[in-house]
Order: sequence, then C-alpha cells, then structure tokens
Amino acid sequence: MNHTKRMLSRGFGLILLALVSVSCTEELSIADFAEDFESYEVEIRIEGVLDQNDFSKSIIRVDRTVLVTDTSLFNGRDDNGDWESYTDENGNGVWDEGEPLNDDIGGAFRGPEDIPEGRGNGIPDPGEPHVDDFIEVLPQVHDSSMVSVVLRDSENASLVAEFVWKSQAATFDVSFGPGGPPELAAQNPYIRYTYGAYVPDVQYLAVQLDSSKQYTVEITTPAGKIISATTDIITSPQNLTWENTTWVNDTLVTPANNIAYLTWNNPNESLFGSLKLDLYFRPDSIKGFYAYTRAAFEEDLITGLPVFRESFIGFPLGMYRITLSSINNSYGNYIYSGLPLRDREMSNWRDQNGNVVLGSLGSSSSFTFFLRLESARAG
Amino acid sequence: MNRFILPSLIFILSIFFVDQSIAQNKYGRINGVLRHADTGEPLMYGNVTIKGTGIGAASDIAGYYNISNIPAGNYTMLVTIIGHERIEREISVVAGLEQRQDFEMDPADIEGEEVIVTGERQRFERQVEVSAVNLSMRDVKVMPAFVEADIFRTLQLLPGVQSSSDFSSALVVRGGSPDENLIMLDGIEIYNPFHLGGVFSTFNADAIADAEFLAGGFPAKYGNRISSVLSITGREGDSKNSKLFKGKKLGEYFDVSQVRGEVNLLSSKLLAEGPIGRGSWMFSGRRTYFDQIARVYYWAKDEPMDWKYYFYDFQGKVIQNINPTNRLSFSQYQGRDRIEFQLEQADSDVNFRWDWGNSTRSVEWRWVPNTKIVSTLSMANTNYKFDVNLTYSATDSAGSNAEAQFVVFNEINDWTIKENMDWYISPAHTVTMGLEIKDLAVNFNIGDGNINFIDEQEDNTIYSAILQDKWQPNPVIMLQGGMRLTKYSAHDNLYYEPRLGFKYLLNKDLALKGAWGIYNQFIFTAQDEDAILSIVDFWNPIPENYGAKAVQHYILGLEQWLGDGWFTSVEGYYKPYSNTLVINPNQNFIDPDDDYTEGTAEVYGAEFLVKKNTGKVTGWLGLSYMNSSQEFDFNGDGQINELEGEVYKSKYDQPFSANVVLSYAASKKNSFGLTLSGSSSNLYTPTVGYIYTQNGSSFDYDNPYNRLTEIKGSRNSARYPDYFRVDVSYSRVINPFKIEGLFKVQIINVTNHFNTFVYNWDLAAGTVEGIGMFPFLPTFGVEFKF
Repeated sequence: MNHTKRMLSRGFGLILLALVSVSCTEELSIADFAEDFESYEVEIRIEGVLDQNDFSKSIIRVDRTVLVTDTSLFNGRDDNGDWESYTDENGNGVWDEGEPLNDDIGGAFRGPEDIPEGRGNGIPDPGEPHVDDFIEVLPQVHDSSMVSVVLRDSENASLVAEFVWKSQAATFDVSFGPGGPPELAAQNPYIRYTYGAYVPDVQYLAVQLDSSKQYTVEITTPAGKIISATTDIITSPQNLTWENTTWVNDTLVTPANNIAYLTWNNPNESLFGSLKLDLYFRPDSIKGFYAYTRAAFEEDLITGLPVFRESFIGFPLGMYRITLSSINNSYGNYIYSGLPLRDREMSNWRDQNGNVVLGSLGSSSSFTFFLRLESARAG
Repeated sequence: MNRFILPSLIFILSIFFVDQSIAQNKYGRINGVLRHADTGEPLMYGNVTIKGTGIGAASDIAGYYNISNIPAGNYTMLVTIIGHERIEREISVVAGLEQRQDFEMDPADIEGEEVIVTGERQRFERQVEVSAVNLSMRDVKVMPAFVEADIFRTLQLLPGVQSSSDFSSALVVRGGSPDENLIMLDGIEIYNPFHLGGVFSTFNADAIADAEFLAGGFPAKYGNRISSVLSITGREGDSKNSKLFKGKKLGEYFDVSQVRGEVNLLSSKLLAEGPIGRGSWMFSGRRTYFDQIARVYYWAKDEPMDWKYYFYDFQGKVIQNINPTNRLSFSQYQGRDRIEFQLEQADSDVNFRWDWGNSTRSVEWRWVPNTKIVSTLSMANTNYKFDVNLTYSATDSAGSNAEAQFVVFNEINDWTIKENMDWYISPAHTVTMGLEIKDLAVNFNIGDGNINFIDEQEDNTIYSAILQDKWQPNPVIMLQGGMRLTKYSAHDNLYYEPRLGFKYLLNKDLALKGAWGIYNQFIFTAQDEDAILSIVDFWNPIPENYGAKAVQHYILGLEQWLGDGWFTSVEGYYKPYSNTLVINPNQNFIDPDDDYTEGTAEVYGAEFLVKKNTGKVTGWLGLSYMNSSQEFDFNGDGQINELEGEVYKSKYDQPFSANVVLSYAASKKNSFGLTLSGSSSNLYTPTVGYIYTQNGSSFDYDNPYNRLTEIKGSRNSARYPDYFRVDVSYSRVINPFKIEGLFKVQIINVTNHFNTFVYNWDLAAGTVEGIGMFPFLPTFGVEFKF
C-alpha cells in the first residue's frame, strides 16, 4: 500500500519539480563533489536469474561499477566507427533538406518544432544514434574475467552446470527508436541490442531445475576470491482466468472492450512477476512491445496465492504474444526494494569473507500464449 | 475508559459547589471582556490591573479577564493594551460579590503611545510559557512575502523553525517533521494546511486575529502532536458599525460594516464583516487565477486550453452573545486545490482530475457561570479529501469504444467533542480540566471505478482527559503541571503524558524557565525520506502493531525584558524520540503489517531571539543551532548497522540558521520591510558511482540495462551550499476614488543568490546541474477597504 502512496507522492512531487526546474538552474563541475566520492573504488555487480522452465535462458550478468569521474564511457564520440553521416546526394558538401540524415539527426531533440543541435552537420554529436549507445558502452562495463562460474546443488554441493562467458548472450529491445523527430522514430520504432553475460555451457542446456531444491552459484574471480549466492527455484504462473474470453488452441480470443481483468497466480507466495507483450501482428504491421515487472497487492482468499491483474482496454486490435513470468522473492525484492544496494537483505551475494557483493541471484519461470483482440461484439 | 472519565466528571461538577463556598468570604471579584471600541472584536493580551494593589490579570483570546480575591474597597481599574488608549475606571468592590466590567478600547496612534506595561509584560510576569511566540497580524503583514502575506512564512523566520525549501511553507520545528505540528484554526485541527504542494498556506492573513505558536514544551491541553502547536484564532468580525442597512428594518438584524480586498499576481481576496443579531459575522474568500489568465492566453492564440489549476478557500464565522454569560459561535473553513488536464488524440482521450483540500466546521458554546469558571464546549468536524480520477477512453479501428478508469481516494474525517473548563481559584492559581473525544475515520482506496484494488477503512477513537494546574506560589515563581491521559482505540494501553513547566524571576526583568513533558502522536503522514518534494500528505492512523510516535521535551532557557519594547530569550532543548516511524523500504506488498519501520531519534539544539515590538522599527533577530540523528533497523535483522545506512542524520538537520526581520514605519503612509535569512542547507545523500542495474527498473524487465543507477554514499552525509536570501518590501497607503487602500511591492531574493534545491546528476553527460529555489522575484499587489 505504501509503495503506491510513495509512488503517487513522488510522482506528483516530480510534476512540481519539473515546473520549478524550468526557472533556475546552474551547471556545476563533478570535480566540485570530489570529497563525496574520493574513497570509492570500482566494484562488481552480479545479477543472476535461473530459469526453471528453460534452463538455457538462465543468465548471470557480471558488470563493473563506474566512477562518477570516468568520462570515457559517455564521451560524445563514435568510438566504434558505426555512426553514419548524412547522404550528400547532390555532392555540395552540406546537408540539404530532403537528403537522408542517417545517424546525423542531431541530439537534444526537444519537441516537434525543434531543430536538434548538430542536425546534418556531418559529425557525431551526443544524443545521436550510434554515439555512446549500448553497442559502445556495454562492452566497457561487462566483466568477462571470471575464472569460473558454476551452479551447484546447495544440499550436497554437487555440480549442476557450468556457465561460460558469451559476448552475445542475450538481447533487449529499446523502444521508440534512436530518438530524434517523430517521423524518424516512426521509421525505426525500436532497436535490438545484444549484451554479454555468463550463460550455461552448451552441454548443460537441458538441465532441469528442481523447484523443491535450492541452488548455489559460485564465482571465482581473477584474484581468487570466491563469490557465491543461493536461491530457491520458482515454477511458472498458473490459474490463468479471464471472463468473456475463448481459448482457440493456444490463443485467447476476446473483444477489445472487455472490461474484465486477465488474472493469474504465482505458484507460491512470491509476489513478483512480469508481463511481456509483443505486438505480434497488427493491421498496420507496426511491431511494438512492452515488458515490466509487477508486484501483487492482493492474494486469493482461498489459496492465499498472490493475484496479478491486467487490463487490455485501449490496446489496438490484433494478435499479441504474451509471456507471463513468475519471479522469486529474492530477485523480485531486488527489483522493488528501496534498501540500499549494499544492504545484506538486498543482495544475497557474498564473498568468502561474508562481505556483500552488489546484485542478486534469483529464479524465474514463464508461460507463453497468444491473445487476439477483436472488435467489440454486437449485443 | 470509565475509570478516568467518571472521576473527572465528578471533579468538574464539584467545583461549582466549591466555588459557592469560596464566594462567602471577605473578597470580591471582577470579570469582563475587553473589546475594540470600533468593531466590537475581543482584544486579547490586554492588561487589567487594580491600581495600587498589584492585583491584575491579562485577557485571553476571547478578550475575557477575571480578577478574584480583591479585598473590599474603592479602587481605580487600569486597562492597557498595545495600540489602544488606556482606560481608568473607578469601581467599588463588595465582599462576597462579583461584578462585571466590560471595556471598549479606542485605538491609539502606536507611535505616540507610552506603553508602560503591555499585556505581553503581564504574560511575562504571570504565565509559564516556554518556547512560546505570539505573532500579531501586523508582524505577518508588514514583512516581505512571496506574493502575499503568509503566517507560515513568517513563522519560518523564528529561531528553531525552518522550511524544507522555498517551495514549502510547511513548518519544521526543532527537527520534527511537519506532521508533528498541531495546526488549529479556532480550535479545529487542520490536517494539510497548504495549497499547491505547500507553496502557500491555507490561511488568509486578513481573516486571522491572532496566532500563538508553541515550539515545544506545550501544556497538557494540547495533544496528539509531538513537536509544536500553532493555534490560529480567526477574526470575529465587526459587530458595531452598521453601514449598508443602517436605519432600515433589516439593519436591526444584519448589516455590513466593512468590505476589504486584495488583488495581487496570484489571487484575489475579499473579506466582509458586520453585525448580526447579538453578535457579528465575518466571511473571507480567496481564489487564484492562473487558470483564468491562461484561458485568455489560449484564447488569444486560438488554441484549446487542455489544463486547469486553481485553488480557493473561504472562511466564515458567526458569533452570538446570547447574554453576558453565554456565547455561541460557529465557524467554517473550506479550501480546495484542483488540477485538470485532457490529452486528446485521434483514437484515444485521457482526462485527469485531481482534487484535494480541507473543510472544517465547529460550534462552540462559551459559558461563564460565575467569575471563577469559564467553560468551553465545542463540537468540530474536519475533513481532508484527496481524490484523483484518471479516465482513458479509446476507439478501436472498427469504431468500438472502451473506457478505463484509475481512481485514488484518501479521506480523513475527524469528529471531535471537547469540554474545557478553566477554574480561577485565585489570581495566582488556575486549574484547567478537559475531556476530549476524537473519532478519526481514514479511508484509502485505489481502484478502477468498479473494483477497489486497495480498500482500507479504519475508524479509531482517541479519548483524552486533561488536568492542568497553573500556580504562582509567590511573585517570583510560576509553576505549571499537567497530565494528559489518552486511550487510543487501536492500542490496549493507556498513555500517560505528564507535562511540567516553571518560570523563576531572577529579577524583575530576567526569568529562568524550563519545561519537560512526554508527548505521543497517534496519526502521522507516511514520509518518504528520499522524496524531494511532496505535494500531498497521506495521513495514517498508527496501526495497532506499531507504537505511537513518542518523544520527550527537555527545555531550559532565560528570557529578559530590556525596556522600550525590547525582549530577548535564549533556550536549549533536548528531544529524545523513543519511537518514530518511516515507510519500510523493504515491505511485503500483501502484508499489511510491515508498512513501516520503527526507530529512535534524538534532536538537541539552542536558540536565541531578540525582539522589538514597539516603535517605528520593529522586528527580531533569531539564531539557532540544531543537531539530530536517528536509527532504524531497515532490513529487520535485529541489528543497527551504520554501514548499511541504518544510522544517519535526519533530513531536517540544520546546524545553523540566522534570520533578521525588520519593518520600518517611515510615516503614516510609507513603510518598509526587510528579511534576511542565512542558514545551513538541507542534507543529501551523495552519489559516488553508478552502474546499470535492474533495481528500481520495474517498468522494463526485459532490458536489464535500462537504468543507470547511482551508487550512493552514506545517507544524508553531504550538504547543499549554505542558504542566503534577502527580501525587501515597500508599502504605501493610497486613496484612489476615496477608497482606503494599500499598494505593496515586494522583491524576493533581491541579491538573486543561487540557493540550491537539488542536484540533478546527468551521469551520461558527466555533468551536475544545480536546480535552484526562488530567484530574484518581484511581485506587487493592492489592498482596498470600503
């Protein structure tokens, strides 16, 4: 309950903050804050999620923190040479209206009537596509130097799987394109990025995790330190119900103005889940998506299991792919908790001396189906 | 419950019999009311003395005074009050009898008046008032203000009182959070006394007669708050000057004596008053016009206006003096803020409406059965509502419509019945007894208009019995002891709150004073300690599985009269909180019993004030020092660990502040105001590094790199640069079209000093942007009266 109140209170506070921030600001140098951070050193953060439904999707992301004084990460330059200037079709050496801008769309786009700074100037500018983007930045924060990453049965310490570094371990999509004017965003509504992480070695892809057991991940660092964390295993969401819908094979069919809620439960008392929705097919053929975690605020009166709800009012007609995931408490708490990152309850990773290492190890499991939103039924 | 209510009732009833027996002696008694000769409004803090005897009394907030134990004989009564002509009246006191002597005081030219002993001096000599300040509306109105005079902004300039920022008029008193202040209008609690997220207070300065502020050590008659008390008395209205219907039949029952108003850049205000029946009425109202100005702007641009914001408030009061011993009063207040906006697109509409505000109403019966007893029975209702409604409607490609709603509703409904009885045993001895029953219903819903996802309804009752004894055993010692017993229906235990205070006159102008007390609070706001701004407060009753917020006040100080209206005081205080609550950062969303984390805290500090009340130049200098710390077991491991951020300074910690407030009445027409403020600024938690993390990135689970999270250093371990601000004002009496008026120009932050409100770290750009508070800001306004 207070989470909601806090979100509301902050949200409304931010409205006012946005108003007052317009009037009076002052640029400062990070060097002015040197005494705040002079004793801080780079450390690692480990986010590990074991997938009960498909172990091959399990992943352990090991990344380094960045000092506030480190300007190499976001330097406003095209470090990997993938930035593409405008196409000078008439060969006059300058960009003319109507010539393709490519990546040279300008940065700091502020609205429909704004001409972004650096637009068509032939050089990379901060805020333009392929300048300080994830392709440049992520390799600099990834830490692939771990000597070993292994998964063990917590009860008997037997080896379950080994994880190896893969530079293209997984992907994520960033919506609304690279920024810039709406017409460009519409042409390229999202970008897919890959990132590096530790994933199960190929011989372990078929491992089945037992939801009645606990598992421990052990990581050996180049300095010989052992970092470990233990997690329970959660199974997929269950008890999917939705009034006024019909199942046709693996597809739920419903009128778009169905005011009832899609509801489901987690398999145990864990309060956390996620919903991922792909606009898989729409009449205008535009692909879009969203995916977010959620916390349950109510429980089923009979089973006591957490209840999740979703409304699809206002979604365009079409066919969607929906993935519902359950997330175990340790990882869900890591996402939602307001505790400091270094708190013992926040992170379950420890080095051999019992010191907290930033991050979390948890588990998830998912269930996928299709949804067809039809026009409102007569009567 | 019965075990303390019944004895208290017996005690109260018995005093009538006691009083009758006391009457059969060799002394006489006098009581009465001091009123303004022009308007009939009661005059508080007037000084009534029997010349040549040293016997006297000060009038209370209703203008009432009472002098007993006067030996039989012929005397001259002397009545003085600042700003009014003195009155002398010959009287004859008869043994065993009481008599009523009312006085109507003519206003005097303040510059020419020789103030020998003011009512405030009387209070100095006879009242145990530790950490108390009385503000006249003149104090509030002459000083520079942000757009319009605001009593909260004036209070923020007193030592020990601070604001969290220029954007907030909420009071932070001696390190206590704003919800720990008891804010009352005519004795009724106001839960969220602000507009626009705290930028303005809800109280219209024109409608206020007096404000008493107690920064700590307050007596037993005030309860359910643990830091301070601000008791505002609304104007009663002019009961004497019939103007509109004078000489007409209607004028015998109702008339208008005065209408005054103010127009400024923010709002327009109107106040009207006059006689009604055997008493008076007063009405004041205010409305902002951001929205109306914007409407003209959009009309000129020929664009639809898709947003609206305004606030309004009004306050009314009706007094009826049924006879010399009985008086009835009714007062009402209503204030509302409203934000609306619409987003219209080709296939969908979003309508957002957000209303919040207070409304209060109260009936009070004041009964003076004899010269020793004043009884005040009141019934009050205060209601605070917060209502958000978001409607999303969409039309699909086949033309079908669908609508979704999001509704948030929070309401506090407080009904209070209170009986307060002052028993004037002798001029040196007064006993106050009281009973109070407060029913507190809190409602919080979140839903879609049909289903409530969250539906919390709590109804608690707070029963309190109060006994307070003020005794001056000799001319140099004043003692005040009291006990407040409280039963909170959500808890099994009975809360005992003893309160003690003393004043010892070291010489005729120098006093040593002190207070100690235990204070509990049963309702509070859910504070997000990391929130930069909070527009609204969500009030919650203390749940049954948490203890009440509890603190002790230890206060010791000196105060001295310096002559010619000068006064100075120094006070030190220590406030150990044995229980305080913050939102649990690690709560289970389904479990209703882990919403908060309990902790302890301590605050200590010292304050110095020198004040000048009379003459052409008035004002004060206030200095204060404060230190605070607090401890919470946030992760619930049973240990307090400083490295995990469980021991830290309060966000209200402010080691140093200095304020100078001056007003200069250069002539009858021209006056100037100046305020100068310098202080330590707010604390913040510094950023030491950053990293991509899923923590806090709940809206994009599939992208683990969507959130560049700041790694924080120790909580509240850094401080923004020192705060400095100078405001000036000039006002001139004007008479356009023979209408009495006042033109006022004010400049906020005349030196345009950049006072940092918050730092915005742009990690990707490698820069830090300081967001400032009020810049150089001139405003003006016009007041009129006819």
